[in-house]
Amino acid sequence: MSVIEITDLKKQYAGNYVLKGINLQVEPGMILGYIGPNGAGKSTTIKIITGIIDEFEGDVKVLGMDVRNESLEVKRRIGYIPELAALYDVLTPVEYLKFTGKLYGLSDEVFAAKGWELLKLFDLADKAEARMNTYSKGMKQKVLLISGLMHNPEIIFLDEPLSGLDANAVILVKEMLQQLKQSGKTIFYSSHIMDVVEKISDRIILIDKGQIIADGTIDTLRQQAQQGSLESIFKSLTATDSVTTNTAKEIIDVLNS
Amino acid sequence: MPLSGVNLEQVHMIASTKLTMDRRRKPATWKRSQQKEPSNAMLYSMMVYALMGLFVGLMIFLVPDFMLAMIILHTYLLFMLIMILITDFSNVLLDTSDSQIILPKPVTSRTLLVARTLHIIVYLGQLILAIIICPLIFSTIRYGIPVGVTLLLTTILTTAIGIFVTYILYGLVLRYTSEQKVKDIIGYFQVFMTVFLRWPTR
Repeated sequence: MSVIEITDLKKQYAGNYVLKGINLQVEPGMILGYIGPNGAGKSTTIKIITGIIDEFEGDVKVLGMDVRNESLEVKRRIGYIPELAALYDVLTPVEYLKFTGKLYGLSDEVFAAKGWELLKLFDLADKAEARMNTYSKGMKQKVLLISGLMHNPEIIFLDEPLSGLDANAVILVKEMLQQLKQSGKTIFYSSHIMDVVEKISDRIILIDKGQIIADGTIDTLRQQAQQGSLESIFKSLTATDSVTTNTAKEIIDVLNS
Repeated sequence: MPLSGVNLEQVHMIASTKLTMDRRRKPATWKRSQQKEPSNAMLYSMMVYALMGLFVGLMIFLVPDFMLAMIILHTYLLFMLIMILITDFSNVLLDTSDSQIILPKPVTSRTLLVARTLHIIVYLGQLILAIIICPLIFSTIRYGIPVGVTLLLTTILTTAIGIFVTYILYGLVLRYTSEQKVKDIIGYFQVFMTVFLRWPTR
């Protein structure tokens, strides 16, 4: 049984379709890399699946439930880690985690047991009582990771989860995602950085201009493109090398003039 | 049942978290004048408003005509209220971070609506109380308890008008111009309020 089932998903903003018919089935216990250039519709897809946007065409089912009718139950069983450090930064991490924990219905005991332990493991314990507006982007990202995972969700949606993290934390998160996968969770990983997606994903979906343009493991994608890294596959599927090189050259010309 | 679909524990958590954030957020009119993070910005604002209320309240004893005194008082109240709504409360009214933070959580829209309404009522209630407390006491002393009770009632009605006017203002500006224009207009009001409010207290 697939945990996410998307049938003919379309979404328009003011007459322009940003998603033009997405069809997707995701099996449990895998890491799905969802990649595409900026503005391809990645975040919009995630926002629809997680129930943030509820106006769309087509059908989306998560864990067998329709996201339109049973959004509350769906939201309870998934975790969403947004991009751009969207959190209340005048709060301290402890207060923020307590807040999100309560919204997920976690009791104070669960929070006391898990929250502090996780803050310690993410190396934030000594700054746990400081307001987050003094935090770096990476530290905020860690708090978001904890808040999205603390209620032990079955499906985890990550939108650019590694942005701003230092090298150690990147390795930590990558290893964590692998172990979460092994314990049977499904991970939906959205990014425009090829490097990490290529290494951890079991299946990669390439999306551009609101449409899926490639779907498969990194090996099948490689065969399709006859090229080495995912970045060049990505390039060959979205734009040609010469076009990008020319654009870069023009930018430098303008800067030098 | 009117509260069906509303999770009271969540309402409490959202409203109290938002009030905590209000206490920590610097009022818009402070940005340059204070370097230190406020320990309780809300309390400071309330004290400033109460002090101004004291002077306006003294007017009750100085103006001989009852109607004129009440007209001055309500004009002042309405003026202050709209200023507060436009300068400080625009953060709350036009807040979009909620959609990123609260919407992915299992919270019904009714719970969120109740929590937001509760937050606005408590937030405005505190400030209105600070503004009106001195004039209310003075009016009760000068004109008796019935006037005091009626004044409390008209204060609530004036608040309703203030919120209505602010919403209309936002609605009109947003309809005919851009969001940037709204921010500019809020900026003008903030400059005005800085001169009007903070200069005498420095």
